[in-house]
Amino acid sequence: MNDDPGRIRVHPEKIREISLPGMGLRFAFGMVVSVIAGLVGQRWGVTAGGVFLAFPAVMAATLTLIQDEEHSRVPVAQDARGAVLGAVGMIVFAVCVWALAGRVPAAPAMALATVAWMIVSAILYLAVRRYTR
Amino acid sequence: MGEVWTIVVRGLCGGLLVMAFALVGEIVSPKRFAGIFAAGPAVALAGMAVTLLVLGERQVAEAGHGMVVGAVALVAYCASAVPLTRRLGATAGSAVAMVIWAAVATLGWELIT
Repeated sequence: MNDDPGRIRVHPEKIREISLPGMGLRFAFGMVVSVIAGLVGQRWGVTAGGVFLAFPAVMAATLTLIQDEEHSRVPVAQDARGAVLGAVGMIVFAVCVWALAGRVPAAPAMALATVAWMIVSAILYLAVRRYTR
Repeated sequence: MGEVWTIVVRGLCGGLLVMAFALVGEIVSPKRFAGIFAAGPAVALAGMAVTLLVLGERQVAEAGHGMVVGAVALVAYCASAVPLTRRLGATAGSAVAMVIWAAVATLGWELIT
């Protein structure tokens, strides 16, 4: 049995423990940021709206959720460290869409960019895990 | 689709996708790997899908161009959030990190325009 604490695992049973108010807050953050991105795009153009497509919505919601739980700072720091890796993946996502959407249909370009985000983020995670052991 | 309905659909799709990414983040471990989903392209996928339906293919590429700047700022946000949260607490730390995101995004915007 492998007890490596850094090993990636999926715990579907944790779905039952998810806080509905927490999910509601995340929905609200996502909705507000999407609306802001849309309004900026309508007023100043799609490129300006695009800047807000990488607004830290989920991260901000996560940090807000633990504002009264000081003991949660360590797990949140872990979340944030992982988010740095996801954010680097987001640069790859954006570059993929920018480079591909004019050349191939936009829908597959977005799908490919999402796969690239996941792969780059996972590779970075595995590299960090290897060098911080 | 009118402009108001476009914004409504954009908001609903963005909220749902952010929730979906957060859900994945909740059921995977370890925490550092789960954190990747806190910086996932949820809002981007929702926004670009609506842009594609309403404005067409070309505009999606332009949104991607702007998003490169936002994503670089997102790296700065996430990197600064760890020390700032430790030093200032969640609310103040998050607020200062948000100012950093805005500053880097503004600088990047000046560079691409």
